[in-house]
Amino acid sequence: MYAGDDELFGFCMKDMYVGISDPDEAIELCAATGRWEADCRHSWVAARRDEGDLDTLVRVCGDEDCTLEVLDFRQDGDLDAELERCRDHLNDMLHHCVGHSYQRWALRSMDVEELERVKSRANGEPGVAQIIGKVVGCQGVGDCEGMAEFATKQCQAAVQTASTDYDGFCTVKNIPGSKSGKSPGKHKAPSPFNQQQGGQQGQPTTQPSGQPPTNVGGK
Amino acid sequence: MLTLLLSCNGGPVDCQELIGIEKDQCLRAEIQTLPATELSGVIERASQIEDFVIRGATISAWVEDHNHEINPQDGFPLCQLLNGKDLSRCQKLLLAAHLRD
Repeated sequence: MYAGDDELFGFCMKDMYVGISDPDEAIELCAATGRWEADCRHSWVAARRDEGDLDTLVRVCGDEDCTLEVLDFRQDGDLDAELERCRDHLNDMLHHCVGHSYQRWALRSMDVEELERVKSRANGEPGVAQIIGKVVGCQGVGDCEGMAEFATKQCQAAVQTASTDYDGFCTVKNIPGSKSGKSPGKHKAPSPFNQQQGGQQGQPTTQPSGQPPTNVGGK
Repeated sequence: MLTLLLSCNGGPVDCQELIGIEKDQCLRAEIQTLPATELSGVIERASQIEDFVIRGATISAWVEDHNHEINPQDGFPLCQLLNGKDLSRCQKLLLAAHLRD
């Protein structure tokens, strides 16, 4: 019925290849869906994002939006490991990946030791100071001291913002565990896209006050 | 590709005079020409498309092309005309910062 119209035919077929087991075959079949190729590959990956080999999934993804989603899903509670995966697999969307990782980190139950460990990056990595401020403000852990003046000010501003919780960050359910690099085991952290309807709740949490961290520690 | 339907006297066809797939294709063609400023017109026409593939492809393509021009709250009613993965994808296109850059 839609065979004469490439756009309609491709749209009709784009979700049909989820069951193809071979990734290379899936890539080949999805190429025939035209403008829906990315959606097709994304669907194939999404069906396997919690079990498939990460490198294979990234290869089938073929674009950074899909890759970012996989990395967001595959987070394991280790901030540095997540940041490394961001750096390994993304370019244009690297700063989004880094921002998401830092936000997930900030949502976990925090101790002063872990806070201080990450605080040391605030002078060199944009956005980290604000994330520190969110932790200080939302969880009442640690403080904004010990950073460069500009970072301290950013941190303090974020603490002030947290007191109003205008973006709902403080009320997002905390993820238990993950103290000082310990992995809490696999779980699904709040995604920026979990909240879907209505006002502020519909906004992704990828944009805290100020800019999200753009650099990866250690690079 | 824009499909321009002409009546027997050479003038543009009113989609409301058509039925079935022809009507759906006519509405699709109209939607494809509408800019982001005509979002309400897109929603009105898309809601009349009965074939789920034509509806889904038309809405998904239009949102993909205009997501960075639409206020998410205004665009949600358009996404609500979709189902399942297409609905999720539509909402993501409107909400996700990294897709609106």
